[in-house]
Amino acid sequence: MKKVLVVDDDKTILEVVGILLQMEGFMVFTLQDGEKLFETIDEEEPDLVVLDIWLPGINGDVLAEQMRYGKDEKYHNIPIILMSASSESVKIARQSKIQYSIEKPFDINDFMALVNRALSLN
Amino acid sequence: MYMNNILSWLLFVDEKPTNLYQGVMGTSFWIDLIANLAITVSYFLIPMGVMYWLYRKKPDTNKGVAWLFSIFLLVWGIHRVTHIIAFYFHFAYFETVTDVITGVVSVLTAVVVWRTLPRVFNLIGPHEVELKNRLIAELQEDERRKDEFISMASHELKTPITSLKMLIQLSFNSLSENSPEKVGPLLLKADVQLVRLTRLINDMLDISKSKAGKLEITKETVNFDEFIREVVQGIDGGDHQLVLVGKTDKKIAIDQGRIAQVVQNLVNNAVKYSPGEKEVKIIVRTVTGRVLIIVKDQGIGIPEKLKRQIFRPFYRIEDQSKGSFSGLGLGLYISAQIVKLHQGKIWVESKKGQGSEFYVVLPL
Repeated sequence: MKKVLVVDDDKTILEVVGILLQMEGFMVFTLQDGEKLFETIDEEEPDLVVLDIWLPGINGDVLAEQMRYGKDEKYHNIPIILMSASSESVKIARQSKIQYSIEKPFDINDFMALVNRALSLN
Repeated sequence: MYMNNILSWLLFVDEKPTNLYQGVMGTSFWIDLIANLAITVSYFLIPMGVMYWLYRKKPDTNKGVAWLFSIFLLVWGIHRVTHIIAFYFHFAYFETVTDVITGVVSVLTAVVVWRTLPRVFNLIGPHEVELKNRLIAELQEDERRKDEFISMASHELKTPITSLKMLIQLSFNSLSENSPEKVGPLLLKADVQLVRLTRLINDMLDISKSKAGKLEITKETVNFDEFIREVVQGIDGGDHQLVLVGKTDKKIAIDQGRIAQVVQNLVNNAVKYSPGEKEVKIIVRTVTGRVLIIVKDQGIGIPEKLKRQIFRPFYRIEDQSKGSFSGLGLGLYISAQIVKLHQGKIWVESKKGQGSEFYVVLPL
């Protein structure tokens, strides 16, 4: 069973994305901010990380950059999806050189297609 | 040939007596001569100064009249030169030509100066410029906040809409997969998101009502302790525990919905701005015939200079080191307006990094 870690400050979004991913057969872990992101990745070893851009603490795009280009190479190849209610989400993802991004509100089929693409390309 | 003819015409000396005609070079002669020299030098230096300024500064307004005025003074300088020469000779035609040029330029300058006057009177002075600049800066700041508000508002509205959209799609999927038992809980969650969306829209309507002076309250007498208990119980503090401390044993005339809104705003802020902390305290007590509500958190706190600004519309505390906080920046402004309509007071005591205490005082 593939594992997905979802980080979003909105509890309902976390809950609903969690329900969706579980229905699609994924194991889901959630965080409301990025404070314990690396700790959780170490513990749960997710196959995919879904990060909201706007987070209390450190923003999602910064966390994504830390994962992708940080010193610790073990995080470099974990696929990341950036999501945001901002219309700038695609631009921000491009600036952070993160391949996958989606703008809220999204269609669950589009979201799942992105999740499967990110996982299969890995 | 022509040049020679013109020169000899200009330098033709007529028979008119010179200024030295009487041949007396007494004190009055020297005073006259020195005064004329001083006037002449000034007539050259003043326009040269003005022209240099015009050349270097390139002013936006009244350039033409300033150039013309400089030329006018220069022409008068030349006119004075002929006056000095006339102490010795009268170059009859040369004098006539300079007189004509001086006359034409003078009349032209006079006409242009008088035509420029109304425009000059409309120019604003340095004090007014400063006032105007300050107003422009304030308007630009308002505009910036409004732009930020629009982008925040769309972000805030999109969040519950995202959940709603997903919940409805999940409900459809559950129905098509013959799992109708899953639909009920999903729709209940959707309903909560609709309430949230309604509250956001109400906040936006409140702000426009308040700005138009149309925010109104309807007071009813209630048991304050019961009221505040119900309000606090109705708030979802998430990971935070909401602790209600103290009692008043008082009945109070308030707009229940509106004061509940104030308490909800303060508690939601306390929860939002104290990530990682576990407790928010709501303390109630009576102080000299008034009811006091304190909402206390251990969050990021508010720097001294921002304590007043947070009660302004569209204002949100931003702390780069703490990431982004969602919200429209309307809650405290609306709360302050509601408290004001109850003839009460609202203020904050806080230090950056050491949590905040919001105080609301309501008269009985």
